[in-house]
Amino acid sequence: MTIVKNLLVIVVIASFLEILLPDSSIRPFVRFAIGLFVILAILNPILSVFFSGRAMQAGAWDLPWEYEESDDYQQVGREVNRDIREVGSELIREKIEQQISSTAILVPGVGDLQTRVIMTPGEGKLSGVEMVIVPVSTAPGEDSGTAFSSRDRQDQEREIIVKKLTSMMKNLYGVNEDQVVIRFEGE
Amino acid sequence: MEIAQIVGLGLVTTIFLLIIRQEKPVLAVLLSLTCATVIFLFLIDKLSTIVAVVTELSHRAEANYFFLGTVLKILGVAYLAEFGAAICRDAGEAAVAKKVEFGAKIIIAVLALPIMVAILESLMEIMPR
Repeated sequence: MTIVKNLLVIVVIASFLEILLPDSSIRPFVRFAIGLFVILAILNPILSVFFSGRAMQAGAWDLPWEYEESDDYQQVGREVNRDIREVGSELIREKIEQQISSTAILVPGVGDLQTRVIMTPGEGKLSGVEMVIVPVSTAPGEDSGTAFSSRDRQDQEREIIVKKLTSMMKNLYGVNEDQVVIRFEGE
Repeated sequence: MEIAQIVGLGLVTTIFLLIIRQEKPVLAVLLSLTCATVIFLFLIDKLSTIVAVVTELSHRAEANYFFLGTVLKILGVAYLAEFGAAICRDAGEAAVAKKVEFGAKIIIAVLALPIMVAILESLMEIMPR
């Protein structure tokens, strides 16, 4: 059945391609070459049936496509590659979170903080940073004004912290201002 | 109506060639070459579709891949040689056209030779000595 199918396909394709041939003195040469393939398609299965023990040279020219298999291999390769990239991306994300936390804590007024880094799926790029800051007063004991002025100073301090951290993220990790979200605990 | 465009281009080029060839034969060859290139570029999409469909059919039928590759190469050689020879003939150089065709024949023979040798070797192998 395979032999008949193979032969049929070769004959149909050869006939189709023969229509496309230029009408010149080269035509007989091309027809001869196509004819060789038709002979090969007939001869090779017959040889392999009657002389199965021998290695015929014609067999080397009758290799079938390994289309589906190669496609499977490529698919498996792509999946393995994607898994490796996902694991690598997760590790990078954790490391960046630690780096940001340890750098941001050096900013005056930041007591403690939790950082969450958002990566672009599949690309491993930093697409956003979220920080929750536990603030501490930069000048404890100096606050002797009214409640109103104390809130004003707190707002100013927080604004400075946000500016410093945003600038730091921009310079160190190349993220835009709108990609950095900074919140203070209790807000 | 792509065929109308191709025919139109062909007719216009022919009229120009008739006029130019009297005065400037070199320009006539260049114009002929340009027309051939434009028509080829115009049809290249369709040609690639034909090749893709034939390749896909071979994949599905799991026909041997040497067949299609070699036949397509032979077809390409034949067409290139035909175009080249026709341009040479238009320029009045029939001898050069013959040489181009000869070169194409040799290249096609070289492409077909390994298959012919393989078939003959296999036949010789099964013949009683």
